[in-house]
Parts: sequence; C-alpha cells; structure tokens
Amino acid sequence: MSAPALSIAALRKSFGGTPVLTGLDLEVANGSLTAVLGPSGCGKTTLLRLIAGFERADAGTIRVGEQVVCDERTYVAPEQRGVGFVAQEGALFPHLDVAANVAFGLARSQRGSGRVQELLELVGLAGLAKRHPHELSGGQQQRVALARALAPSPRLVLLDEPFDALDAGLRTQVRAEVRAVLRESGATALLVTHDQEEALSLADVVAVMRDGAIVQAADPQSLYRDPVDAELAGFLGEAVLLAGELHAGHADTALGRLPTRGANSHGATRGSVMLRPEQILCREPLAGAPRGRVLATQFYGHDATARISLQDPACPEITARAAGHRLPAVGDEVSLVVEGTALAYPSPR
Amino acid sequence: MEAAGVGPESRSWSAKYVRARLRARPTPPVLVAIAAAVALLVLLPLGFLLDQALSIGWTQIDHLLFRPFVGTLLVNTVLLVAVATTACVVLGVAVAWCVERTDLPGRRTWAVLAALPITVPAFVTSYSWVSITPVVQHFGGAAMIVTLAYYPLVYLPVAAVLRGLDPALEESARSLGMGPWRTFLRVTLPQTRLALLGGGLLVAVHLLSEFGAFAMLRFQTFTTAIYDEYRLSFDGPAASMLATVLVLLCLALLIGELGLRGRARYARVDTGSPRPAARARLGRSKWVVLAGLGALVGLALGLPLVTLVYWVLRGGSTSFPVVSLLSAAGSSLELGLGAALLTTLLALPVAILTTRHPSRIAGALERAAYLPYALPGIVVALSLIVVSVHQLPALYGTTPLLIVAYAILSLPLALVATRAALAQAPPVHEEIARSLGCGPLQALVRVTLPRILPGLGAAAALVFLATVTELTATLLLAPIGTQTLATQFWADASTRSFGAAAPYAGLMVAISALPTYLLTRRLGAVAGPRRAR
Amino acid sequence: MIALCAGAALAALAALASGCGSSESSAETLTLYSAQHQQMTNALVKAFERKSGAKVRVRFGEDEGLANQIVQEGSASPADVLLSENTPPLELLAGKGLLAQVNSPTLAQVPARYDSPNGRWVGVAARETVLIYNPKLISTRQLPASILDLAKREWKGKLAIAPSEPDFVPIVSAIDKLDGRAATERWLEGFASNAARYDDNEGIVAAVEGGQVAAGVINHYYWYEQAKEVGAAAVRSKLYYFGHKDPGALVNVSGAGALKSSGNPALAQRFLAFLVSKEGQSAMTHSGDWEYPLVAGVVPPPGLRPFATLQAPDLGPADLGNGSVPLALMQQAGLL
Repeated sequence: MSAPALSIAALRKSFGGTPVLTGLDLEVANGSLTAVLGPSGCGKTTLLRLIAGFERADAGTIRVGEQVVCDERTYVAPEQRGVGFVAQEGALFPHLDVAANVAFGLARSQRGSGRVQELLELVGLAGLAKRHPHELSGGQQQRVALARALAPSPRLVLLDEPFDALDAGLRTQVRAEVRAVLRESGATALLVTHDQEEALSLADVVAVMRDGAIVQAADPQSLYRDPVDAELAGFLGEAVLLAGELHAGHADTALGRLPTRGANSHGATRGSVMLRPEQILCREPLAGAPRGRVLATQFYGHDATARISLQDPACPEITARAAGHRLPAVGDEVSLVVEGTALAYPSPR
Repeated sequence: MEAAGVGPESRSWSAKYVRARLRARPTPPVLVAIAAAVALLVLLPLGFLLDQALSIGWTQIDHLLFRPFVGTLLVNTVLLVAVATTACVVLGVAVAWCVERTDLPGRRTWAVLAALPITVPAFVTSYSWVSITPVVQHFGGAAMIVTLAYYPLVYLPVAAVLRGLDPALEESARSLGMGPWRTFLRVTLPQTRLALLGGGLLVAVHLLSEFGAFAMLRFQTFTTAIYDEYRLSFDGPAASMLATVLVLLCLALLIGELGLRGRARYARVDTGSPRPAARARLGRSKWVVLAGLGALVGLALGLPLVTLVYWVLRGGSTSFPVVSLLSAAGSSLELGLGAALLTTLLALPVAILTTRHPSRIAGALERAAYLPYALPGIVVALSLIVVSVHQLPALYGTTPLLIVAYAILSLPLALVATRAALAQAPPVHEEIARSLGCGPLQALVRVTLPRILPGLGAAAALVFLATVTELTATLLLAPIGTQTLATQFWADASTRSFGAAAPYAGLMVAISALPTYLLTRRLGAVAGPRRAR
Repeated sequence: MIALCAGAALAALAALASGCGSSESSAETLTLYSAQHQQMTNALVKAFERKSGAKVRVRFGEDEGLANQIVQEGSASPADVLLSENTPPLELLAGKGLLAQVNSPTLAQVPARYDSPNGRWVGVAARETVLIYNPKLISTRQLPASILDLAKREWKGKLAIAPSEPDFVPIVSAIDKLDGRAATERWLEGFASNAARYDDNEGIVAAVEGGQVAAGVINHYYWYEQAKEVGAAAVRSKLYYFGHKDPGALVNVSGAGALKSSGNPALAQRFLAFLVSKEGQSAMTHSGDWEYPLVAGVVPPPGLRPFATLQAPDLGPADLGNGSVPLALMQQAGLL
C-alpha cells in the first residue's frame, strides 16, 4: 500500500511561551479531501504553515508522501516540498494577469503549453486569462488561486479557510465548485476551517482539532453520529444530552428507556446519552409516551425547532426538530418519540 | 487588491495573528545594524546640540538663553504658530467640507485648486506679497501668508476622511432629531479628529522650522535669529542655544503628534464605503461660498503665480540670466536626484525592519527615524558643518555632505512612502511564491520588487521635490561655486531684486508643482509633502 | 515604471544643464571668500580672470560670518583670500595670526591709514556712513547734528535699524572709542527702542523710500544704487552727511587679506595686487558699485560727494577693533 499523501506525528509548536500545537497526529490519504475543523485561533493556520514549510516545528515529524520534510534533523525548504498553498484571501499577485498567475509555478518550458488553459477550464474561468486580479470577484479570485496552486501538480494542496472571505451567499456555490475541481484533478487536499457545515459537507475525512491536537478524525457521517465526547457532540451540531442510568444496550432517561450504542467498557451505571434533535419527534399526546410542553419555537422555513419542557427536574428542557409544516404551537402538550439509538457517554469513575 | 465582500472580523483577526507570528521570527542582525546606523545618522544633530550645551557651561547658557531678546522670539514664534495653525485648521476644515460634502458647482476643479497652494514654497509666496507691498511685514501679515501657504496640509487629509465617511452615522443622528449644525459638530467633526490633529501638528512643525518666508516678511522667529547668528558668528554658542530651544519646541509637538495619532498614522483611508454620502444643498449661499473659495485660491495661488509672471516679464535690474538659470537648475536637479537616491536607500532597511520584523528595537529605531520632523534645516546644517570641520575635514564643504543633510531632513517623508510601498507587498505573497517553487531571492525579485518599485519611485520623487525647493541647509552647506535655484532666488530676493529673483522662483515652481500635487494626493496626504524653507 | 523613466530623463537633463555652467579646471584656481556685494565682486573676479588666466571660485557671505568660518575651518580652510566689507573681520583674522604678510608694493598703492597697521591686509574701497531720510517725513531743520542724537526720545518710531548688518558694527566701535562705553550703551538702548528692525541696509532703504520710516543709518552707496534703479528723478529719499568728525561720518574701509593657510600664496598675492591696481580699481568703479576707490588717480563713480570733503573722524582700523566688543554690546542691548 502506498504511503499516505501526508503523515504527521507528534507535531509541537509554541509562539513566545504559548503552546499552539501540542502533539498533533494526522494522516491524509491520497486523493482525499480532508478538513481540519476547529474554532478560530486554535492553531489550524499554524498547522498548514508548518506543513508548507513557512515555519519550523519545535518537535515532531511531517512526511509528504515518502519524503520526510520535517523532523529533528531535517528541514526541507518550501520550494522543494511540492506542497501547494491557497491563502485565506487568495493572495493573487496583483502585478500579473490571471494567466501569468496560474503559470507562476510552472517551469519556463511549460508556461506556453496548454496547461494554463487546461487549469482555467478546470476552474471554469477559461475566458478570463487576460484579466487582472482586481477585476475579478472574490469567488473568481479563489478559483484562480486554486488553479495556480494546482498548476505544478503538487503532491498536496493546502487551503487556509478559503471560503471565509466570501459573501455568505456565494460560499455554497464556490465550495461546490472547488470540491468538483479537486475531485477532477485527483489532487490530495487538506483544508482548514472553523465552519462545521463546510467541513461536514465538503470533506471525505473531518479531523477535529482542539487544544492543539486532533481529537477525532473520521468521515462526516460517523463523526456526526458518534462524536468521541459530549463537547465534540455539541461542537458539531445541536446535541441533546440526557442524564441516565446505563445498562447493557439501553439507558433509562427522562425520555424513557432508549436503546443505546457505544461501548461501556467501564461497566459504569451512570452517565449521559446523546441524541440529535432530529431524532426527537413531536406527536399528539399519546398514552405511555413521555410528555412535554412546548415553550418556544423557531421557524427556519425548511424546518423548525421547538424547545420543550419536560416535567423531569434532572433535565428541564430539550430541543426537538420538526418539519416546517408539522410544527406544534407554543403551549401545546406533546408526546415525544425517539427515533434511532442514543450514544452513551459513561461517566468516568 | 481587495476582494469583494471582505469580512472585517476575519481580516482583523488574521492581521493580529500575522503580527504575532512576525514577532516570533528571528530578526536578521544585518538589517538591524543597518537600520541602527541610519538612526544614528539622524541623531547626529541632536548629539551636536547636546555637546555644545555641555561644553558651553551653565553660566553661559543662562546668559545666552534667559534674556529679553529670547523672550521676544519665544512669544513671536509661539503666538504665530498658535494663530496660524488654528487658522489653517479652521480654513482646512471649512474648505474640505465645502468641497466634499456640499453640492458646490465645479467641485472637482475646486478640489484641485484648493490643494495647489502647497506646491508653491512658502518663501516664494511671501516674496510675491512683499514685492507688491511691504505692508504685510508684521505679525498679521505673516500669519495670513503662512496660513495661505500651509492650509492644504490640513485640507487634504480632512477632505480624504470626509470623502470616505459612512453616511449611516449622520443619517442616524438626523433620525434622532439632531439638526444639521449639531450633526456636523457632534458626529462629522469628531470623525475627522485624527486628520485634523495630524494636519494641524504638521503645520505647526513646518512653521517652527520655516525660515525663508519669515525672513522675507521681517518677522523674527527662532529660525531667523539662528540664521542671523550664523551670519555673524558662524557657529557661535548663541546659535546653538537658540537652536536647542527650537528643537525642544519641535520635539514637544512631535511627541504630541505621535502620541495622538499612534498607529492610526498608517491606516489607509477606507474609500470603500458602500454608498456615497448625501451632499448638503447650498442654495443661495453657494454664491457666498464660491466667492470665498475664489478669494482664497486667488490669494493663495493666483497672487504668487501672477506676481512671478509679472516680474519675469518686467525683468527688473538684470537681463534674463539664461546661463545662470540653467546652471542653477542643473545643480538643483543633480542634488535632488542624489538626495532622492540616498534617502530612499536609507529608508528601505528601516521600513523593511518595521514591517516584516516588528519588535521593540524596530519600533524604537523607527521613532528615531522620524526625529528629523523636529529638526529645522538650519540646525541640521549647522551640526553637519561643525562635525565635518572638526572631525571629517575631507567631507567639509563637499556636495556629499549637503546630500547627507538632505537625506536626514527628508528621511521621515521617504519612510512613510516606503512603508506604504511595502504594505503593497505583504509577506504572504512571497510565501506563496515559495510554495510554487521559487527560492527566497527569486520570490523577492519576482513578487515583491515589482510591487514596491512604483511606491519606492514615489518616495524618491517626493524627496527630489522637497530637495529642489530646500533653502536653509543649502545656504549653509552648498559647496563653493554651487548655486541652486533656491539659493540664487534667495540671493536676489533678500536684496530686494525682485525681478532678478523671479526666473529662479518660476523655474522652481514649474519643476515641482504638478508632481508634488499628484504625489501628495496619491499618498493620501498622510506624509507632510515638503520642507520648503 | 513611469517614475523610473522620468528619473532617468531628469538625470540626463541635469548633466546637460550643469555642463552648460561649468568650465574646464586646468588653470590655477583661487578661492575667494567675499563679504562684498555680488556685483562688485563678480566684476573684479572677471577682470582678474581675464588678466591672469586663473580661475576664481567665490563663496559669498557676510563679514563676521566668513571670518569666523575661516577661524573654525582652520588649516583645512579652502580660502585663499578674504575680501571684506569692513575692517573688523580682517583685524580678527590678523589678531589670530591667520593672515599672511602683504607684499610691500601692494601695500604702498593705498594711503597707509587705509591699510592694516601690521601690513596683514590692504584697503580696497571706502564707504561713508550717512543718514538716509525721507524729506516728506522730516524737514531739514529736524536733521540731527550728531548720530548720538538718534537715541533721543523725539526720534521714537521714526527710525530703522539693521543690527545684523555688518556695516553697523564699526559704527558702534566708533562711538565706543570716541564717546566711551557708557554713552555707547545708552545710545544703543535708545536707538533700539526708537527704531524698527530690518534685516539689512537694502531693507532700510526700501522702508525710507516707501515712507514706512523717516530715517536710517546706512553706507552711502546703497542710496546711489536705489537712485540708479528707479531713476534720479523718481528717488524719494535723500542723504544727509554728518560731517564734523562725528562718529556718524565714519569712513568704513573694505579690504582684502591673504590667508597663511592658502594653497597658492603667490596667486593670492597677485590677486591682492590686482585689487589695488589701476585696472582693478577701475573695474570696481565701473561695476555699478558706488564705493570710493582708494588708489590715487582713479576716478570715482560720478555723482559722489568728493572724498576729501567727508570730515570723517580720525579712527584707524586698530581703533575699530575686531568686532567682538560691538557684538557683545548689541547682545546686551537686546538687539541680537
């Protein structure tokens, strides 16, 4: 099996006395798009800059393909790593036109060939070769920046929050286009972002970063379904946490007996379970089903959420999601039905 | 280079992060050494003054400084600076508001005309007035003439701010019930505070250092008194004592300016407001405003130009001195080019150090490099004379020494412009170039250099123009037999041969007017455009 | 890019233009520090260059400033000759031993009283102290008998004074020598409070002509220049000669000396000889400068009051000193 496109082990970096990366491990498979997700200021950009070679690590190893580019004894200069970089604001060279920008990383002999045209077509900007960066929109600039990074066929492309500088309306569209470009070119890409929706919708693998290390790396669905702890669950989306008694395969909670997944290796009996609001359905009051009163509702058009008060003092409120046309009114009494299994988090002893 | 729809939070956050990262980078010692050498050069005049003070001894200092004559100078100088600066501020704001925020007819032309007086050196302006009538040779006349000459230093930055103002603020105030005057005073004016203060302090510093204009107007200030002392005793202690007081006054102003503006000095005026502000309607009062503006431009710009043309045509005491004119022009151009080159070269390492490798040392070196704002030309010239006569006789009386004086005087100007140029080439571009396969030097040449060359050219051009119109240092340091346009003009104007002086002044204005105007607008008038003395 | 091209064009232009003004420097060069007026100096210099084939570089300045500059420059000074407007700077340099002995034939050209007492410098031209006044503002009866009268109260607001003008320094010395220190101090204070301050004699002339002040003390030739400029019929001011050996009738001698540190002493001496030769003096009187020649037999410029009738006080260069006393007195009186 060939080496992964990128392999990082125990990476550490501090600025001044402040530790930014505290032993980070990551692997990126060939041809995949991996997203590193983390809140602002957690060190994601530092990670990218270390991989690109713009900074030196304090400790740890970085391998790009088979080549060790960074460890205690080695430091390979950025121009020799074959790692492309797309900066947050595109950072196109203003004194060159689009074609010259894209051709920048190509050897002189290659510049005249059709590679530039090929890349411009790939990103859907074929007619804009003679334009200058200030004449392009934000989305167009990002795409040119991507084409420029892809031109010398790098082993790995790094994208630093590439959609952050765009208008919200444009973002979805540009994201999809960039995704398509990367797939079609077969490049391996590592993207950092603080937007969970972006990470979950774009990437093949999402690695969540917290306190300078990777907490969990998995495909989006697995990550969303089975986050490794309650904090991560809340970070990835709305999470409903219920305290409960844990037994084998089920738990007793304020919403009744719920089937659970997740290993209980400690054999603990107390803990909490995690549900997503879309798993909790509001129904007309039924006998035997747990009940609640609707406190407030939020209508988003395509769907809606309701805040529901339970009579249980251990868990006073939960959030349930409903389709827009099935939203209960405030003050209604509803029965709550849980779909699917809950994820158990045993309390540590 | 701005992408459409930039998110403000992400930009400021990443800028902070970039600065934190930059600080952690090791600073190349060679760069620090060069920048330190530049700072030392600039501190030379101050060192000279200190040395003089120490060697003279307290009794002599007491005798020279604390006497009624110095008291008169102090009162004259401070009073004039206070009155003229206030007048410039009021005038500058008024003109800026009329041009930028009302529906004045012919606004674009007025905007240009209102800024043009700064391109005529103040000593030429006072020459024009004096050649017509000696009535202006007293406090009131002096205050009026220097106000007319220097108000653009306030007008330009305030106009720039008013141009980019977000109309939402004023509209909110109006919707809360504030009338137009109150809105102006409590909402609009405070936003121009920084531009006002910066411009006003710049005017004050220029006035403290002004020599030629006051000499022509027979108005005694510290600079004219220092020059008189120089004429009489060459480098006697009285001259350096007066110079010390002057420098202290300037330093006080400079510290005030740096303190009040701080980092805001480098903030580019945001011209990307989404909507242009509504303009006030003038109605009938537009005639009054037009008349006022016409009078202002007529007095500040028209009068000097017309007078120059009159004297050139009339000829006066001598025939048109073609050979002398060409020779003086040649000297002016040569010296200007030399100064431009040297100053830009000196400013570059300091600018690179402060933008790419910020640190405490870098900050201190940069502040030192701004010191020449507080050093009048005469003080720099005197100190270089004394130092070269006693320590470096080989340099004494040579052209290189004069060029060094110009470089010291123009360093702050070049520094501001060079910093602006470097801001066009953020380090991320070089990094991306490296990720695309360029080595460090190659990245510098292919990416950074093309970006900063136009800005460096602008810096050099500004220094060139300031040097062509420089008077005082040239008077003291020019090598024997070298005459520039400014010194030839002065030789004639100060002996009241107005006709003979006119061609030199005319050529000076012709060379420097348009480029000065263009460059000053380009740099957003943050840099004080000239040190015309 | 545009800036670079413009810069290159300017550089070419500069080289061209400065080439117009300069000439080859294969000949001998004399460096002259001149406190005299440009017109007269240039005339003398041109005539000398024509006669001797040498080239002369001139640094213009003022009496005391140039003298002090030479003192400060020391042996590194490029100056070969100092041409002064008055005698104090020459005495200053002579007193410090910086002037070379002038050749005797050169000294003999002018009367001994107009030469340095020790033969260190030679007199070149003479100027008479006068009162310039505006007849519309002062009647002939009000004219002062002595220059000392100008300190009296009745002259308040009517006078002009130029304390930084080097021509003023010997006048103060004269009063000091003739009437004593106390009288000089009183006179300076009185004059200062009566007079408006001007930068130089040209300023005084313009003010009197224009009617801003009634009278001022200058050297005679400034008035003659003004008369030439506007025409004899149009000149409004008049000259009043104090005479009677009053300090106000002081004759100021303009002289020249060669520096010991000169790089070319022979050429310096030739220049000095030229200054007091018939050709040199004649070049001076024809230059549009209205000073009195000192060499016998040279015709003075037309229209001047005859030199012999001036009734100047008997004060020599030694009496007038090197200028340090007047400067200190003027500082004390708050004029400087």
